[in-house]
This record gives sequence, structure tokens and C-alpha cells, in this order.
Amino acid sequence: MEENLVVRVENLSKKFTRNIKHTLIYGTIDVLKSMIGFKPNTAKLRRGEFWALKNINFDLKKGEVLGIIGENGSGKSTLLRLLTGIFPPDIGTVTIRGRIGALIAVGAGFNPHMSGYENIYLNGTILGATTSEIHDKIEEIVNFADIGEFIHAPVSTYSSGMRVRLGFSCAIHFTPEILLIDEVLSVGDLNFRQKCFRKIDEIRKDTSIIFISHNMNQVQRLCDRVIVMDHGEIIFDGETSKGVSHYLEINNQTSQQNSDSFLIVNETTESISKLNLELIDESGVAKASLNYLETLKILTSFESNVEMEEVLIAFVLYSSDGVAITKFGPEGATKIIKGINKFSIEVTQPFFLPGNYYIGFKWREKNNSVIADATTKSFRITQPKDYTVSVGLIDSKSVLTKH
Amino acid sequence: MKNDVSVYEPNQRLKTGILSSYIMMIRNIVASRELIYQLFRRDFVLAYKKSFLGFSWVLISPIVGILSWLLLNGTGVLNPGDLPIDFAPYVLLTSSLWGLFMGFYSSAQATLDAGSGFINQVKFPHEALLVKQTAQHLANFSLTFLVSVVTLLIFGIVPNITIVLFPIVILPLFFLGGGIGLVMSVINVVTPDFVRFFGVFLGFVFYATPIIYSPNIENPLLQSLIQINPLTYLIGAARDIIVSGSIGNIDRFLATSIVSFVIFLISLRLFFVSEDKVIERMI
Repeated sequence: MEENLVVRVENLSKKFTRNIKHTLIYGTIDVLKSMIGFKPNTAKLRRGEFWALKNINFDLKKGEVLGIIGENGSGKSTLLRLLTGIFPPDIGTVTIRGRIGALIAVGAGFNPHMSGYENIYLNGTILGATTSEIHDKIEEIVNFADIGEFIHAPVSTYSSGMRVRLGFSCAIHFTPEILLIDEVLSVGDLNFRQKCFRKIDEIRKDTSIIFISHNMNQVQRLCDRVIVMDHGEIIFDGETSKGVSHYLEINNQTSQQNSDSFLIVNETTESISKLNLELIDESGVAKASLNYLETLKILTSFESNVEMEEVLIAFVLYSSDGVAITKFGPEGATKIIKGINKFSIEVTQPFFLPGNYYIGFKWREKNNSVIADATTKSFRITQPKDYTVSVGLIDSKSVLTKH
Repeated sequence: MKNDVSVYEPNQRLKTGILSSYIMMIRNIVASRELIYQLFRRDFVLAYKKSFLGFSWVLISPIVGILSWLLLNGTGVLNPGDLPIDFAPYVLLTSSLWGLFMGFYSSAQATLDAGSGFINQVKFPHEALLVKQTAQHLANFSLTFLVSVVTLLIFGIVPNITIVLFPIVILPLFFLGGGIGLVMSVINVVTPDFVRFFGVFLGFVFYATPIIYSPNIENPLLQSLIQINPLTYLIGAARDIIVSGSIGNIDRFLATSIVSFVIFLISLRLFFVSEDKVIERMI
């Protein structure tokens, strides 16, 4: 392996079974075969087995931050377990240079009856640190976790957030040469998450990181490069923004395929029926995605069997991870007639960056009772070919003036 | 940056030579002594911390055990045969030695389970768990053993000075119980029925070992079972070293000890080549 590489994965495949009986039977066969010295043929699929990972190839350079993204069940966590050597490969090889540490499940081996302090020692040794290393860092770990007096209380008395804080603090302080982070940053409060990111920024100078997340903002913020996985295979390996956009594209396709209707209605009063909402283009035809900088136009309709004088109709546009971006809709209250109501609304100047979005709404009568509550499936604002990468959700233009 | 390169490939452990697999395991255990200590502390000390009676639990079960055997013996339903010492201290001693063997077996059998919660999250040498399990069992045992010795003294039996050899004489019990248990810990993940069945079988072995009766019992069927049962010699030797100071059946004890050691070596190898195949099935 070249000097500047810390991870090399070649033709890696791993199979699993879906059925418990098969697991037991094949497990017994493989164990017995190994025990009597025969190599089980790992390269062949038996009945009921499937490739959880198939022909994976990639390298990780020293100091690089690699994102792995993909839908649930695409093989990301399995891949991490093969990288750490917890699971043996069925085909191919994994070569690792240096110590590898994984933030797969924070707080591995925590004993609920021991104090947080004692658990730092336990967890630290499980993560491969020596007692003297833990000794040197314990103060820093306690400070980082920032759970106050609770550090001397049994872990069973902790809130789930406190457990995560302590677990993460342990894991991040015993920094190995290669750090694997699996979805753990999605927990904890905002302050703590920001602190974690600062810590990651700090260690990334000396550490190569593989980062798994469903949060595309985090991925874009951290990663130099991404791999997109789908059904156990790598379908993209390259520049972060392109990878994210590729992933959102498939994500959107699946969401469209699964959909009967674009609008998911949570609740309506009895008087409202046939509630519908769609994105439309200039000529009023429904569409599944928008081009970057194209006007966001929606058409909504419903039937009401009563007349309502004053209804507050408003929509909220959300980013794919649930951040409310803007509210739009008619000013003041709207009158609803008995029979079919139809509105179209145009959001002018929509400088939303390429990505996935959805719309949600909760219409209320003047007395504040909800008459309709619904969200749409996500839709996509597509990325133009010559698009230069930008960060965030909104595009803004700025001017530099020298003084 | 350290330059140690690790490579993972299919059936890797089967490609490791037998001798190097032993060396690797010993090195791993030495390297994980702090982990062993931490896990031991977690499971041993804390098991007693969250109970009102704490360490007294260690004493309660042997005492209840002796009382029930005394009761049975008093009713006359048992005919233990010729015993070198009184029935009560005899049963106390031999049953605690049986407990020692069973503890070696069951703690080894729980080797992989002892890592549940992090065994499929973090990479570490699993043989460390065997050491931790055995240490935990020995710590429990030494407390009950102390009670046994005190009870012997109460019955007027002063242990022979050869009791200092006790730790060596029980080694074969560890090799046999620990060895079989270790293999069972792997099999338990994929064929739990077999391990259960084996547990039932061991219940039978208890009665085929001179624990609640004399090794010289006259029943011919029992005699022939005793003769082929390795535990007769292993438990017998440990008992003799305390009570009489010389091992009765020393030739057979030595032969059985060698066989137990070989079984242990084979078990270690079997564990080494097969355990990584079951971790993914432990989720």
C-alpha cells in the first residue's frame, strides 16, 4: 500500500442471511468446517443469502475526510464493521495502516451501575486506551462531556443525551489514526453538536475520518469526498457536492416511486375533503422537481361542505432535515366557500440552493382550531451543470467593497 | 504515525499456523490485561454492589447446599458407602470441587456473551474475555472455598500442608472445563440446542462422579461409570491433596491431566479459527 494511504479496500464483498434458521444452519456449517480445518467457500451465495456489500473498492488518504452516504440498509454500517475488523470479509481485502477507532455506538460497554467517572476508564480500555492514557485525559473528557455533578452518579441515572455526551467525549479523546463516525452526531443538543464539530475540525489535521450521516449539511460541511452506496454497492465516489446531489436524486426517485400522492394529509376537520397540493410549472402542469432559480409555484385544492369566513392559509417550506426556511401564503385571512376551493401561490425570488425540500402546512380558523394539517413528500431543486458549490440553503449575492 | 498495517481477508485465521495462533493469543491476552481488569471489576465487584446482602451471597448457597445433603443423609435415604471422612464435610468439599469445575465450564461457555453490547461494535481480542470470565469465577470460588476450609476445621478435619499444591492440582479441571466451555461459547451462537443438551448431560455426569457418595461405592454399574469418568480422578486428586496429603490414583490423575491439557490446546485452536465467523451472527 502506498505511503500516503491509510485505508485500502479491494473487491470487498460480504454476505448476510435474512432468515434466522438459515443463519443458524450456515453458521453451524461454517463453524464446523473451520474447526476441522476446511475453508468455507465464502465467495458463493447459498439459498437465502444476499450480498450486503458487493465489490467495494476505495482508498482513504492520510488526513482525508470521507463521507459515506446512502439510504438505510445500503451497507454503510456493515462496511464500517469490516473496516474495523469486527466482521471478516467474504471476498476481497481490507488493508489498514494505523490504529482505527469507531464511533459506531457511543458508550460501548457502559455499566449502568458504575459512575460516569468509572465508566470512562471502562469505556476507554474497551476503545483500546491504556489506563495511563485515560489518566492523562480524564479531566479533558469530563469537561468536554459537561454533565456537571452527574459524573459521579451511576450512568443509569443519566438522561439519554447525557449518556451520549459522555460516550462521545470518551471516544473522541482517544483519537486513533483513523476515526469512523456512524450517525452519532445526530444526537445531543445543538450546543453539544457544535462542540463536537469543533473537536472534529481540531483532530482532522492528524486523523483520517470516515463519516456516515444522513444529514447532508453535516456531510457537506465536513467531507472532502463522498461515496454513495446503494444496495451494497458504491454508485458514486468523488466530489462531495456532486455526491450529495447524486444521493438526493436517488432519494427523491424512491420517494416518488413510493408515492401515491404527493401530499400526505395528517388531519382535516370533517368539513374538508379531497385536499390536494402539487407543484406546477408555468403552464399549470404538475411536476416533481424544480430547476435551480425557477419560480416555486404550487396549486392547492379542496372541497368544503361549509362556508368559513376567516381561515389563515399559510405554507412553510422546509429543508430535507426539517429546518423551516420560509413561510408563504396570502396576507391575512381568506374566505372559504362551500364547494371546491382552489388556490395557486407563487413564491417569487426563490433563491433556494439545489437540494431536497418539502412543504408543510397547518391551516387554522380564526378561533385557532386546525382545519387541515399536511406535509408534502420531498421535492428536489435540481443542480445546473455549471453550478459552483455553495453552502447552506439560500443563495445570496454579495458585493465586496475595498475601503 | 504508527506504521503497523493490518490486513483483513476471507478465512484469514485458518491460514495462521497452529503454533503462531497460540503465540498470538498469549500476546493478545498480555496486551489486554487492563481491559481484563476493567471488565472484571465491572462484572465482579458490581454484581455485589447492587444487592443488600452483598458478598454474603457467596456463602449462602454452599451453606444451603450442605444443609440439604445433611438432611438427606440424616433420613437414611442415601447410602454413600465407605468415606474417608464424615459425610457432611465430604459432600461439602467434593461438591465445591464440582462447582469449581462447572464454574470453569460455564464461565468459559459465556466467553462471547460477556462481550455482548460491544463485541460487535469494537475490535478487541476475545480471548481476553475467557481470562476475565475465569478470573471472576476463581474470585467467587476462593470465597466459597474459604468457607469450606473453615467448615472442615469445625468438623475437626485439619487440611494437610499439601493444600498449598491445590492451585496446581486444580489446573486440569480448568483445562477440561474451560476448554470444552470455550468451544461451546462459539457453538452456542449458532447451535444453542446442542449447548443446552450438553448442559443436561453434565447434570448426569454429576451423579456419575463420586461427589455425594464414596469412590469405592459397591454398585457395579456406578463403579464402571466412575472408572471411565475423568472427573473422578481430577476431583479426587483435589480432594485428596486437602484431606490426606497424597493423591490416591496418581497415575490416572496424571494421564487424565495430560489429556485435559491436550483438549484445552485443541479447544483454543478451534476457538481461534471459528469465533470470528459467529460475531456477525450475534446481533
